[in-house]
Amino acid sequence: MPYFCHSPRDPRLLRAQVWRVEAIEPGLAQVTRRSDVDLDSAFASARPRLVRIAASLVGADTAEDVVQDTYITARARISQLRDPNAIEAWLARICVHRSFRIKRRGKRLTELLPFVPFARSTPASAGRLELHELVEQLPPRDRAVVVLQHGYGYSLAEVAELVGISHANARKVSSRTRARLLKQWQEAEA
Amino acid sequence: MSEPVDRRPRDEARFDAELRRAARSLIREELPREILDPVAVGSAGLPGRVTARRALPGFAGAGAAVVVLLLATAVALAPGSPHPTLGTPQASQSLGMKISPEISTLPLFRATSSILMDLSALEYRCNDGRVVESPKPEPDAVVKESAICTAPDSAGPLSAALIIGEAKGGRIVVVTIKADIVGDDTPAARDAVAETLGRAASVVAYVKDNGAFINAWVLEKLAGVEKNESVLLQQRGYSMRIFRSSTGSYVVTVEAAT
Repeated sequence: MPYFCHSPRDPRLLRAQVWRVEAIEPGLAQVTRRSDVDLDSAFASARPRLVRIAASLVGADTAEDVVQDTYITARARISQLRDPNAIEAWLARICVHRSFRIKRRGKRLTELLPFVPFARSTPASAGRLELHELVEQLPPRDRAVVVLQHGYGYSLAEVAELVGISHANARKVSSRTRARLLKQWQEAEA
Repeated sequence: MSEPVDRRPRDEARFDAELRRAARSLIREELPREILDPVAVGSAGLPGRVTARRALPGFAGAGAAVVVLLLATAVALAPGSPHPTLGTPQASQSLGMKISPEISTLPLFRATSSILMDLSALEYRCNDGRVVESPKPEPDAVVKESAICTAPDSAGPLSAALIIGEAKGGRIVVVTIKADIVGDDTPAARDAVAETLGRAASVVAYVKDNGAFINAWVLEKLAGVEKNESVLLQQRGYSMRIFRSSTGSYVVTVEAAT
């Protein structure tokens, strides 16, 4: 599994993955192993694109984590792939989903280890910030919604579907983030 | 002394435009078209997806199947129902395509930004379009031509432009593609127009299979449309029209079926 070797950040994830594979019924395990070979090569070719998608949604410094998360999720759910020809779109869908969820782990780590200083993804400059800088500084979850809705042009219902939350929740995240950005932007304009 | 002017709505409109620009500037890669296609990708089996909970899913599914069966039988037996062979759309028959009921609930058009990225890959040059000064009062009226894209020279002996018409809220309601043959009106030139317009029209469809359907329909029909003639097809939720003016210009429009 070259992608774990690439960045073995958390050995617990490796153990969890091994457990999942062993837990699969024998009949399915054969299918899953065969699919894993396809997944590895498909993932290898899709990986640069996935990194760019994740970088668009949550920033370059978190993108690698998202893509690694994508691989773990894809391995665990390869049996649910409907159309092997659409594996790249399937991986991208997982990547978008994991981009939205990546904050949770960070938040939990922050709560667990409050004494560890976590660096900001983009250092705040002293002068006036451009709007794209304000968007870049948003938490990954909020930034992902903003980029999906305003950058890619998806409707809120589609954003909700992509990131796996309810429409009401997506609307709440979107309007709250927009209001915050508007306030910052107006203050910067004033 | 004049009253203070409330600049808030105008400011917010400017902010929204700036926000769109800022968010677009962060995009490093376009998302695949099939990403929301339930046929190809589904929900990717992801956790955390919000779905309605049912107390007895097995019974509910069986009940729904019975209701659908009864409804279908009632419609088929009702007086005035179309004959099965007459009711089959010819275009889909001749093109050998299947119609998936699952995809009929999806939007018809992709987001403008996604369309522009694909057109850009096809070497189209796009500008920001223009606001329609006197829009019609209907809710689906075009209030803005959000982008006007011209085909590259490599398309052949023709000039073509694609215009995206948006209603209030940025929803695409119509896409118009116009083309003129440059030079002699030969079968080869018509084929080049059909190929260019078909490919451009296919980019706008939300579901890739529908895009292929539109492309195939334009390819099949356009070259046979004579001056002052138009061909209309309503299929898959789209109303598609090919029109050839008295001067020889081709116009393809794709909008929601009424």
